[in-house]
Amino acid sequence: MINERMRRLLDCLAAVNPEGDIDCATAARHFTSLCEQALNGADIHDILPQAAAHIAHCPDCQEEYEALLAVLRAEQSGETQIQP
Amino acid sequence: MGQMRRRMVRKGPERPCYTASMAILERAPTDRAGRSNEEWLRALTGAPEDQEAAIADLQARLRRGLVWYLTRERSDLGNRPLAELERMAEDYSQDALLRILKRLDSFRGESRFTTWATRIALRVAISDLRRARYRDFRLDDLTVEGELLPRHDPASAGDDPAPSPEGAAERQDVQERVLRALQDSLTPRQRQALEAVVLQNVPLEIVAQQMGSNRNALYKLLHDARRKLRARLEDQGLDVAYMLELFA
Repeated sequence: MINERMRRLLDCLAAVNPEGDIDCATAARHFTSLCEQALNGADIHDILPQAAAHIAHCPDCQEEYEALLAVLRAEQSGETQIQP
Repeated sequence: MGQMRRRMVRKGPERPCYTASMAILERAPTDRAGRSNEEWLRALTGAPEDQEAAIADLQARLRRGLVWYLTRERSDLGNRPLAELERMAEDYSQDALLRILKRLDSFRGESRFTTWATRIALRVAISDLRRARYRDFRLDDLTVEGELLPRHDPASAGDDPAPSPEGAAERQDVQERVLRALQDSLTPRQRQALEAVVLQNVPLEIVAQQMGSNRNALYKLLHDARRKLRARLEDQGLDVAYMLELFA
């Protein structure tokens, strides 16, 4: 348990970008276009590395980005048309 | 869910009250036909009959996406009956529609209109689910002045044993130095945020709300805290990669 907490802390330290980071609102402005491009097979790290880094390290933004990507993917495949 | 219960008030005749699943089946062909971004905007701001049809199509589309999200992506809602999840999707989609119609001017056309609208709908849903999940969470209950990383106790570390007595001693030494750095280099507010977000996985949105702050400011506070802590440890010769290996 203690080691798990240490690892979480160290993981978040390892992710520090010394050149600074963009905030949630700035990253979120790019979610829609990034998701559409990711859906077409693009690597978002190549498109907007700072937004991609923010998504990787901000749990709230990661949850929202991944939810959008998942729903768009389901729409594309027709899964959302199927009654649960 | 309180605020989600309100119903949207619109001009025009009242729609029949479909269940979410009925609406899913009935609206599907319209959405598959698709509208361009310009067509969506023109319809949503146009004549009442065009507006009515566009709103109905958009809400049905958002509701379908939300039903799929709540039923397929949210394992934490797995014990809820389908009817309840459909009601939640209905509420979220209505709340999202209100926001979308208010913010049409802010759509910049960088994606499909429906992608933009879906993002707003998911944000509504995810925020509400976070608030519900952390309803009883109190930031002040965290012992920020206590030990963020409790002292290593070999007797209680059975689930994660050190590889050797030397390894255990090395881990304990590093842990104590990290703890000192936490106390010395961070403010109580930074320690509190770090404990809640990083160590207890509480969403930033919830922590920010209880700090009387916002997500952006909290993210910056955490970024500064991480940067300061890392710099303090590196000053002491404690490289993060070395420590990660030690606690792997």
